[in-house]
Amino acid sequence: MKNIPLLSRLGSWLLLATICINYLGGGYELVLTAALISIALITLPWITREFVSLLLGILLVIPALAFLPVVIRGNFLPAPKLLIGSGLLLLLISLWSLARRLLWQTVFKKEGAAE
Amino acid sequence: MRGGTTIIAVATLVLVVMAIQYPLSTTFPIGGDAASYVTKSRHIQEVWQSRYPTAQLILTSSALLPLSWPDRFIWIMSLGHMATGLALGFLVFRLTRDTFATAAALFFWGLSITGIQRHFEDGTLAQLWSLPWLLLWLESIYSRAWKRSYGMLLATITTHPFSGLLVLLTSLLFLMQLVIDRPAATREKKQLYVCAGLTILLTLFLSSILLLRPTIVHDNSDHLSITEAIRSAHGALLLLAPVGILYGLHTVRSNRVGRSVMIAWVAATSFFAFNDRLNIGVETNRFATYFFLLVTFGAAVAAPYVLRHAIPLRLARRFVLTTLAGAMFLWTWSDNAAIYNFYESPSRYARLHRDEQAAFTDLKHLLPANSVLTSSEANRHVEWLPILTGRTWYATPAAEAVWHGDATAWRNYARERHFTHFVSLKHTEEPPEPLRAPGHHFPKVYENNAVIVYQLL
Repeated sequence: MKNIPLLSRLGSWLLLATICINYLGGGYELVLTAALISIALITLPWITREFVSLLLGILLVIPALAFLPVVIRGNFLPAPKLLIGSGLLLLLISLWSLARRLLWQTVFKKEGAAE
Repeated sequence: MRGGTTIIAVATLVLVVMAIQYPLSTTFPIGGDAASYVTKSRHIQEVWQSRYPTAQLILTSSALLPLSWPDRFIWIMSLGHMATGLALGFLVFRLTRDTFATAAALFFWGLSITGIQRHFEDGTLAQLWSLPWLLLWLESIYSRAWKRSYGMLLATITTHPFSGLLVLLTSLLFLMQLVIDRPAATREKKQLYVCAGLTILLTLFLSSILLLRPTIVHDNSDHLSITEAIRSAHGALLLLAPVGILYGLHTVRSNRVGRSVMIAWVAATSFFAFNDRLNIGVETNRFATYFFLLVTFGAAVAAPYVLRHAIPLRLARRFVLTTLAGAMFLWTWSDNAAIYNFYESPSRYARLHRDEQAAFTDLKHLLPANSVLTSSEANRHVEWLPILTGRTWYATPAAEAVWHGDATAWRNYARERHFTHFVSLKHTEEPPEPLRAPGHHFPKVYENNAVIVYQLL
C-alpha cells in the first residue's frame, strides 16, 4: 500500500502535465488518454467499497443511457422525450440504489446495512 | 488560517474585478434579451406576469439605484455573476472545509464570465440569477436544512423555470435513493414518500407548462462540444472536473444525504446538458450552463488536491500557483476585453448602435407623450424603443399585409392600431416604399445616420 501515495502523486503530475500539453496544442486523443490515466492514478487511494459501488453505478448508468435513444426513438415530440428520459434516469438510479442496498445487506452483512 | 483568508480575499477580488469589467468596458447592455427584461421590470404589475418573477423583481429593485435602465441591467448582471461565484464558494467550503478549494471556486467562476458561459453575451439575466439559488439549495440539502431548502427551491423555480426543472429532477433522483437506502417502516421514510410524491407532481406541473409551450427550442444541432471546450481557455477546468467530482463524492461519503444529492446533481445535470446526444434535443444551449457550473465546482474541488500532491513543497506550490493564476487572469481579462470591444465597436453593429441610441433619446423629447410607435422586427434593437423614448411601441410583424400595401393601406393600418409614428432602423432596412415616396403623405419628423421616423397620423 506504500506505493499508493506515489501513484496519486504521479497522477497529479500527469494531470498537470496534461493541462500544459493541452494549452500547448496537444492532440485531443493524447490529452484525453493522459487525462484518463491520471484520473485513474489519482483515484486509486480512494478505492473503498463505497467508491466501488459508485463506479459500478456509473458503469451501469452510462451503457443504459446509451440505449436511451433507442428506447425513446419514435414519433414523440422532443419535450415528452425529455420527460421519458428523466423517468428512465430515475428508474436507473433507483435500480442502482436498490442493487447497492441488496449487495450491502447480503455481501457486507457483518459490516452493517448501508454504510 | 491567515493564509486561507488571504487566498479567499484575493480570489474574491478577482471575481469582483472580472465582474465589473463588464460595466466598466461597455456603455450599453449586450445580449438580445436585455431589452425584454428591462421592459417587463419597469412596471411592477408586469413582473408577476413574467415567467421569471424573482429575476424581474431583482431587476425592478434596481430602480432604487440612480442610474438609467440600461446601466442598471449591466450592474445587475455583474452582481448576478458575483452572487453565483460567492454561492459556489460557499457550497465548496461546506463540502470540503478547504479554504484553497473555496478560493479556487471563486477564482474559476470569476474567469468563466464569457466564452464558457454566455449569460453576459446573451443577456440571460434570469438564468444567471437562478444559479445562486440552485447552489444554495444544494448546500441546504447537504446541511439538511430542510426549511431553507424549500425556500431555495421556490426561489430557483421562480427565477428561471429551467433551473427549477433541474432542481426538481435532482430532488427526485436523490429522494429515490434515500427512500431505497433507508431502513423500512420509519417515520422518516413516510415523510420521504410524501416529499417524493409532491416533487413528482411539481415536476410534472412545471414540465407541462415549460416543455409543451410552442416556443420551446427543439434542436439537435446545438451540440455541447467537449472537444472545443477542452481546447478553449477553460480546458483546464474540464480536465480537473472529473477528479473533483469523484473526490467530492469521496469526501462526503459519510453524509448519506450529501452523497445522494451530489450523485443526483451530477446525473441530472449531465442528462439535461447532453439530451441532444440521446436523440431528444431540448434547449441544449440553455442547459449547457448547468454543466459548466458543475465543471467549475469539480475543478475547484480538484485543484487543491492535485496541486498539493504534485508539488508538496509549499514555496514551490505558491510560486506555481501564482504564475498559473496570474497567467489565467491576464488571458481571460484580455479575452473579455476583446469581446467587449467587439460589442462596443459601431462598425460591428452587435448591440444598439450609438446613433440609434442618440435618436431614441432625441425622440423622448421630440414626440408627444401620447405617441404610439411601430416598426418592423428587423432586429431586436427596436425593443429598446419604449425604454429609451418612454413612448408605447408595438412591432408590426412581417406577416402583416400592410407591408405590401400602398399609402392608403398604411394610413388605415395606423388608424386601426392607433399608431402615430413609424420608426425605421437604417442599418438593417429601408422604410416601406409608400412612407418614403415623394408627395409627403407621411411627413418625416426625425432623421439621423441610423434612424428615420415618419408620422403616420
